[in-house]
Amino acid sequence: MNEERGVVSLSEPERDPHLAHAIRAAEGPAASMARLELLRARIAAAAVAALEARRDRAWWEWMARWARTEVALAAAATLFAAVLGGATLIGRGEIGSDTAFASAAAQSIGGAPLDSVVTRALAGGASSEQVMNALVGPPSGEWLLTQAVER
Amino acid sequence: MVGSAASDDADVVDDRALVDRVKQGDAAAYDVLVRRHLSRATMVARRLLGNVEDAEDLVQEAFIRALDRIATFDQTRAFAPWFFRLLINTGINARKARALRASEPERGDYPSRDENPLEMAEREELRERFVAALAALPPRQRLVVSMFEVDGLSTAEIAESLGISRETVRWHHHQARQALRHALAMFRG
Repeated sequence: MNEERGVVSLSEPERDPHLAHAIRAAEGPAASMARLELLRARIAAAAVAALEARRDRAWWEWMARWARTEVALAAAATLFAAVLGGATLIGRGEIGSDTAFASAAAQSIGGAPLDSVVTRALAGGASSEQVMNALVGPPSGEWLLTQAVER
Repeated sequence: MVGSAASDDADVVDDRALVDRVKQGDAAAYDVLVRRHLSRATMVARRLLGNVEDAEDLVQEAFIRALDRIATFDQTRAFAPWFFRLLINTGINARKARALRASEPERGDYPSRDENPLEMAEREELRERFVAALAALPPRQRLVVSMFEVDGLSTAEIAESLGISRETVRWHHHQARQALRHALAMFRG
Protein backbone atom coordinates (compact mmCIF):
# COMPACT_ATOMS: atom_id res chain seq x y z
CA MET A 1 0.00 0.00 0.00
CA ASN A 2 1.35 3.40 -0.99
CA GLU A 3 0.58 5.01 2.36
CA GLU A 4 2.56 2.39 4.23
CA ARG A 5 5.58 3.44 2.19
CA GLY A 6 4.90 7.12 2.92
CA VAL A 7 3.76 7.99 -0.59
CA VAL A 8 0.62 10.09 -1.09
CA SER A 9 -1.91 8.25 -3.23
CA LEU A 10 -3.23 10.01 -6.33
CA SER A 11 -6.65 8.41 -5.96
CA GLU A 12 -9.28 9.08 -3.28
CA PRO A 13 -7.95 7.59 -0.01
CA GLU A 14 -9.86 4.80 1.71
CA ARG A 15 -11.64 5.68 4.93
CA ASP A 16 -10.36 4.23 8.18
CA PRO A 17 -13.24 3.37 10.56
CA HIS A 18 -10.90 2.80 13.53
CA LEU A 19 -9.35 6.21 13.08
CA ALA A 20 -12.80 7.77 12.71
CA HIS A 21 -13.90 6.15 15.98
CA ALA A 22 -10.78 7.36 17.79
CA ILE A 23 -11.20 10.93 16.48
CA ARG A 24 -14.87 10.96 17.50
CA ALA A 25 -13.94 9.78 20.98
CA ALA A 26 -11.20 12.39 21.26
CA GLU A 27 -13.41 15.22 20.02
CA GLY A 28 -16.16 14.43 22.48
CA PRO A 29 -19.88 14.54 21.88
CA ALA A 30 -21.43 16.98 19.45
CA ALA A 31 -23.00 20.10 20.95
CA SER A 32 -26.39 19.41 22.52
CA MET A 33 -29.58 20.60 20.80
CA ALA A 34 -30.23 23.05 23.64
CA ARG A 35 -26.78 24.57 23.25
CA LEU A 36 -27.21 24.82 19.48
CA GLU A 37 -30.60 26.47 19.96
CA LEU A 38 -29.06 29.09 22.26
CA LEU A 39 -26.34 29.76 19.71
CA ARG A 40 -28.92 30.05 16.92
CA ALA A 41 -30.84 32.63 18.98
CA ARG A 42 -27.61 34.59 19.58
CA ILE A 43 -26.85 34.63 15.86
CA ALA A 44 -30.40 35.69 15.00
CA ALA A 45 -30.22 38.58 17.49
CA ALA A 46 -26.83 39.70 16.16
CA ALA A 47 -28.11 39.65 12.57
CA VAL A 48 -31.20 41.85 13.11
CA ALA A 49 -29.57 45.18 12.18
CA ALA A 50 -27.80 43.81 9.11
CA LEU A 51 -30.99 42.18 7.82
CA GLU A 52 -32.96 45.39 8.37
CA ALA A 53 -30.36 47.39 6.44
CA ARG A 54 -30.58 44.83 3.67
CA ARG A 55 -34.40 45.19 3.52
CA ASP A 56 -34.09 49.01 3.24
CA ARG A 57 -31.43 48.64 0.56
CA ALA A 58 -33.60 46.20 -1.37
CA TRP A 59 -36.49 48.71 -1.33
CA TRP A 60 -34.28 51.53 -2.62
CA GLU A 61 -32.75 49.29 -5.27
CA TRP A 62 -36.27 48.40 -6.42
CA MET A 63 -37.22 52.10 -6.55
CA ALA A 64 -34.05 53.01 -8.42
CA ARG A 65 -34.62 50.27 -10.97
CA TRP A 66 -38.19 51.42 -11.60
CA ALA A 67 -37.23 55.09 -11.58
CA ARG A 68 -34.83 54.42 -14.44
CA THR A 69 -37.61 52.75 -16.43
CA GLU A 70 -40.03 55.55 -15.64
CA VAL A 71 -37.60 58.24 -16.78
CA ALA A 72 -37.04 56.39 -20.05
CA LEU A 73 -40.81 56.07 -20.56
CA ALA A 74 -41.36 59.74 -19.76
CA ALA A 75 -38.65 60.80 -22.20
CA ALA A 76 -40.16 58.64 -24.92
CA ALA A 77 -43.64 60.04 -24.21
CA THR A 78 -42.33 63.63 -24.36
CA LEU A 79 -40.59 62.98 -27.65
CA PHE A 80 -43.69 61.36 -29.06
CA ALA A 81 -45.88 64.26 -27.88
CA ALA A 82 -43.47 66.78 -29.40
CA VAL A 83 -43.49 65.02 -32.77
CA LEU A 84 -47.27 64.62 -32.70
CA GLY A 85 -47.77 68.24 -31.55
CA GLY A 86 -45.44 69.57 -34.27
CA ALA A 87 -47.30 67.67 -36.94
CA THR A 88 -50.61 69.08 -35.66
CA LEU A 89 -49.27 72.64 -35.74
CA ILE A 90 -47.98 72.22 -39.27
CA GLY A 91 -51.35 70.78 -40.20
CA ARG A 92 -53.07 73.86 -38.78
CA GLY A 93 -50.65 76.15 -40.59
CA GLU A 94 -49.15 77.71 -37.44
CA ILE A 95 -45.63 77.14 -38.67
CA GLY A 96 -45.00 79.67 -41.29
CA SER A 97 -47.18 82.25 -39.64
CA ASP A 98 -44.18 84.04 -38.14
CA THR A 99 -45.29 87.09 -40.00
CA ALA A 100 -48.75 87.12 -38.41
CA PHE A 101 -47.58 88.91 -35.31
CA ALA A 102 -45.35 91.26 -37.31
CA SER A 103 -48.25 92.30 -39.55
CA ALA A 104 -50.57 92.74 -36.58
CA ALA A 105 -47.96 94.80 -34.80
CA ALA A 106 -47.34 96.89 -37.90
CA GLN A 107 -51.02 97.63 -38.18
CA SER A 108 -51.11 98.70 -34.55
CA ILE A 109 -48.40 101.36 -34.92
CA GLY A 110 -50.02 104.56 -34.05
CA GLY A 111 -50.79 103.99 -30.42
CA ALA A 112 -53.04 100.92 -30.27
CA PRO A 113 -52.87 99.31 -26.81
CA LEU A 114 -50.56 96.26 -26.47
CA ASP A 115 -53.28 93.81 -25.45
CA SER A 116 -55.18 94.52 -28.66
CA VAL A 117 -51.96 93.85 -30.63
CA VAL A 118 -51.58 90.50 -28.86
CA THR A 119 -55.22 89.64 -29.39
CA ARG A 120 -55.03 90.44 -33.06
CA ALA A 121 -51.76 88.52 -33.47
CA LEU A 122 -53.23 85.44 -31.85
CA ALA A 123 -56.37 85.79 -33.95
CA GLY A 124 -54.14 86.07 -36.99
CA GLY A 125 -52.60 82.64 -36.27
CA ALA A 126 -49.44 83.49 -34.23
CA SER A 127 -48.45 80.90 -31.64
CA SER A 128 -48.17 81.85 -27.98
CA GLU A 129 -44.39 81.35 -28.19
CA GLN A 130 -44.13 83.80 -31.07
CA VAL A 131 -46.15 86.34 -29.10
CA MET A 132 -43.90 85.90 -26.06
CA ASN A 133 -40.78 86.22 -28.20
CA ALA A 134 -42.07 89.41 -29.69
CA LEU A 135 -42.99 90.88 -26.30
CA VAL A 136 -39.98 89.91 -24.15
CA GLY A 137 -37.45 88.79 -26.73
CA PRO A 138 -36.45 85.25 -27.78
CA PRO A 139 -34.86 83.02 -25.14
CA SER A 140 -31.40 83.16 -26.73
CA GLY A 141 -30.89 86.86 -26.00
CA GLU A 142 -29.46 87.49 -29.45
CA TRP A 143 -32.23 89.96 -30.11
CA LEU A 144 -30.75 92.26 -27.45
CA LEU A 145 -27.36 92.25 -29.20
CA THR A 146 -29.05 92.94 -32.51
CA GLN A 147 -30.86 95.92 -31.02
CA ALA A 148 -27.64 97.34 -29.59
CA VAL A 149 -25.75 97.01 -32.89
CA GLU A 150 -28.56 98.66 -34.83
CA ARG A 151 -28.40 101.69 -32.55
CA MET B 1 -23.93 14.40 8.42
CA VAL B 2 -23.56 14.07 4.71
CA GLY B 3 -26.76 13.00 3.00
CA SER B 4 -27.35 11.23 -0.26
CA ALA B 5 -26.41 12.86 -3.57
CA ALA B 6 -30.06 13.62 -4.32
CA SER B 7 -30.69 15.33 -0.99
CA ASP B 8 -27.36 17.20 -1.32
CA ASP B 9 -28.50 18.54 -4.71
CA ALA B 10 -31.83 19.54 -3.20
CA ASP B 11 -30.02 21.31 -0.36
CA VAL B 12 -27.78 23.17 -2.82
CA VAL B 13 -30.79 24.35 -4.84
CA ASP B 14 -32.65 25.22 -1.67
CA ASP B 15 -29.62 27.06 -0.26
CA ARG B 16 -29.53 29.24 -3.38
CA ALA B 17 -33.20 30.13 -3.01
CA LEU B 18 -32.58 30.95 0.65
CA VAL B 19 -29.56 33.10 -0.22
CA ASP B 20 -31.73 35.00 -2.71
CA ARG B 21 -34.21 35.78 0.06
CA VAL B 22 -31.45 36.66 2.55
CA LYS B 23 -30.15 39.22 0.04
CA GLN B 24 -33.55 40.92 0.33
CA GLY B 25 -33.23 40.92 4.13
CA ASP B 26 -35.52 37.94 4.83
CA ALA B 27 -34.86 36.98 8.47
CA ALA B 28 -36.76 33.68 8.23
CA ALA B 29 -34.63 32.52 5.29
CA TYR B 30 -31.46 33.49 7.16
CA ASP B 31 -32.64 31.48 10.16
CA VAL B 32 -33.21 28.39 8.01
CA LEU B 33 -29.74 28.76 6.51
CA VAL B 34 -28.20 29.06 10.00
CA ARG B 35 -30.11 26.02 11.34
CA ARG B 36 -29.04 23.96 8.34
CA HIS B 37 -25.30 24.54 8.80
CA LEU B 38 -25.03 25.29 12.53
CA SER B 39 -24.21 21.81 13.85
CA ARG B 40 -21.41 21.13 11.39
CA ALA B 41 -20.08 24.68 11.72
CA THR B 42 -19.85 24.24 15.50
CA MET B 43 -17.96 20.97 15.10
CA VAL B 44 -15.51 22.46 12.59
CA ALA B 45 -14.98 25.49 14.84
CA ARG B 46 -14.29 23.25 17.83
CA ARG B 47 -11.69 21.34 15.86
CA LEU B 48 -10.05 24.63 14.95
CA LEU B 49 -10.10 26.34 18.32
CA GLY B 50 -10.18 23.48 20.79
CA ASN B 51 -12.90 24.71 23.17
CA VAL B 52 -16.63 25.18 23.01
CA GLU B 53 -16.86 28.87 24.01
CA ASP B 54 -14.35 30.09 21.41
CA ALA B 55 -15.94 27.79 18.84
CA GLU B 56 -19.40 29.31 19.41
CA ASP B 57 -18.01 32.84 19.16
CA LEU B 58 -16.34 31.88 15.89
CA VAL B 59 -19.53 30.35 14.47
CA GLN B 60 -21.50 33.48 15.32
CA GLU B 61 -18.84 35.72 13.76
CA ALA B 62 -18.73 33.57 10.62
CA PHE B 63 -22.52 33.68 10.13
CA ILE B 64 -22.59 37.47 10.59
CA ARG B 65 -19.67 37.88 8.16
CA ALA B 66 -21.45 35.66 5.68
CA LEU B 67 -24.47 37.96 5.90
CA ASP B 68 -22.30 41.04 5.37
CA ARG B 69 -20.68 39.45 2.32
CA ILE B 70 -23.71 37.67 0.89
CA ALA B 71 -23.70 40.00 -2.14
CA THR B 72 -20.29 38.61 -3.18
CA PHE B 73 -21.51 34.99 -3.07
CA ASP B 74 -21.51 33.39 -6.52
CA GLN B 75 -24.94 31.77 -6.77
CA THR B 76 -23.83 29.35 -9.48
CA ARG B 77 -21.89 27.54 -6.72
CA ALA B 78 -22.89 25.77 -3.52
CA PHE B 79 -23.31 27.81 -0.35
CA ALA B 80 -21.72 25.33 2.12
CA PRO B 81 -18.13 25.34 0.78
CA TRP B 82 -18.22 29.15 0.51
CA PHE B 83 -19.46 29.49 4.06
CA PHE B 84 -17.05 26.91 5.52
CA ARG B 85 -14.11 28.55 3.79
CA LEU B 86 -15.11 31.82 5.43
CA LEU B 87 -15.50 30.09 8.81
CA ILE B 88 -12.15 28.30 8.57
CA ASN B 89 -10.22 31.39 7.45
CA THR B 90 -11.80 33.43 10.25
CA GLY B 91 -10.92 30.66 12.71
CA ILE B 92 -7.31 30.39 11.58
CA ASN B 93 -6.94 34.17 11.91
CA ALA B 94 -8.57 34.07 15.35
CA ARG B 95 -6.09 31.42 16.47
CA LYS B 96 -3.23 33.66 15.48
CA ALA B 97 -4.74 36.84 16.92
CA ARG B 98 -5.86 35.90 20.40
CA ALA B 99 -4.64 33.72 23.18
CA LEU B 100 -7.08 30.87 23.38
CA ARG B 101 -8.75 29.90 26.57
CA ALA B 102 -7.22 26.63 27.59
CA SER B 103 -9.71 23.96 28.42
CA GLU B 104 -9.79 20.28 28.92
CA PRO B 105 -11.34 18.49 25.97
CA GLU B 106 -14.67 16.93 26.78
CA ARG B 107 -14.71 13.23 27.27
CA GLY B 108 -16.65 11.42 24.63
CA ASP B 109 -15.95 7.77 25.08
CA TYR B 110 -17.01 6.67 28.54
CA PRO B 111 -15.84 3.29 29.75
CA SER B 112 -18.48 0.73 30.51
CA ARG B 113 -19.08 -0.28 34.14
CA ASP B 114 -18.02 -3.84 33.35
CA GLU B 115 -14.44 -2.90 32.40
CA ASN B 116 -11.76 -3.88 34.87
CA PRO B 117 -9.46 -1.16 36.28
CA LEU B 118 -6.52 -2.18 34.11
CA GLU B 119 -8.56 -1.96 30.92
CA MET B 120 -9.96 1.36 32.02
CA ALA B 121 -6.48 2.74 32.71
CA GLU B 122 -5.19 1.49 29.35
CA ARG B 123 -8.16 2.93 27.60
CA GLU B 124 -7.73 6.29 29.32
CA GLU B 125 -4.04 6.41 28.52
CA LEU B 126 -4.69 5.55 24.90
CA ARG B 127 -7.34 8.25 24.70
CA GLU B 128 -5.03 10.86 26.24
CA ARG B 129 -2.22 9.96 23.89
CA PHE B 130 -4.52 10.15 20.91
CA VAL B 131 -6.02 13.48 22.05
CA ALA B 132 -2.48 14.87 22.43
CA ALA B 133 -1.50 13.64 18.96
CA LEU B 134 -4.65 15.14 17.45
CA ALA B 135 -4.06 18.46 19.24
CA ALA B 136 -0.45 18.51 18.05
CA LEU B 137 -1.48 18.41 14.38
CA PRO B 138 -1.41 21.71 12.44
CA PRO B 139 -4.98 23.14 12.24
CA ARG B 140 -5.44 22.36 8.55
CA GLN B 141 -4.28 18.76 8.95
CA ARG B 142 -6.59 18.26 11.92
CA LEU B 143 -9.49 19.66 9.95
CA VAL B 144 -8.74 17.61 6.85
CA VAL B 145 -8.47 14.28 8.68
CA SER B 146 -11.63 14.95 10.75
CA MET B 147 -13.68 16.15 7.79
CA PHE B 148 -12.62 13.13 5.75
CA GLU B 149 -12.78 10.37 8.36
CA VAL B 150 -15.59 11.58 10.65
CA ASP B 151 -17.79 13.82 8.48
CA GLY B 152 -17.35 11.63 5.40
CA LEU B 153 -16.60 14.50 3.02
CA SER B 154 -14.69 13.81 -0.19
CA THR B 155 -11.27 15.35 -0.81
CA ALA B 156 -12.88 17.56 -3.48
CA GLU B 157 -15.43 18.93 -0.98
CA ILE B 158 -12.72 19.54 1.61
CA ALA B 159 -10.55 21.26 -1.00
CA GLU B 160 -13.38 23.65 -1.86
CA SER B 161 -14.09 24.41 1.79
CA LEU B 162 -10.45 25.13 2.58
CA GLY B 163 -9.66 26.88 -0.70
CA ILE B 164 -6.78 24.54 -1.52
CA SER B 165 -6.16 21.88 -4.18
CA ARG B 166 -7.23 18.24 -3.87
CA GLU B 167 -3.59 17.21 -3.98
CA THR B 168 -2.84 19.41 -0.97
CA VAL B 169 -5.82 17.93 0.85
CA ARG B 170 -4.54 14.41 0.16
CA TRP B 171 -1.10 15.39 1.38
CA HIS B 172 -2.50 16.89 4.64
CA HIS B 173 -4.69 13.80 5.10
CA HIS B 174 -1.74 11.50 4.57
CA GLN B 175 0.45 13.40 7.06
CA ALA B 176 -2.28 13.54 9.69
CA ARG B 177 -3.18 9.88 9.33
CA GLN B 178 0.47 8.84 9.65
CA ALA B 179 0.88 10.88 12.85
CA LEU B 180 -2.33 9.56 14.43
CA ARG B 181 -1.65 5.96 13.51
CA HIS B 182 1.84 6.34 14.90
CA ALA B 183 0.40 7.59 18.23
CA LEU B 184 -1.92 4.58 18.43
CA ALA B 185 0.79 2.10 17.40
CA MET B 186 3.28 3.42 19.97
CA PHE B 187 0.90 2.71 22.78
CA ARG B 188 -0.06 -0.69 21.51
CA GLY B 189 3.65 -1.51 21.25
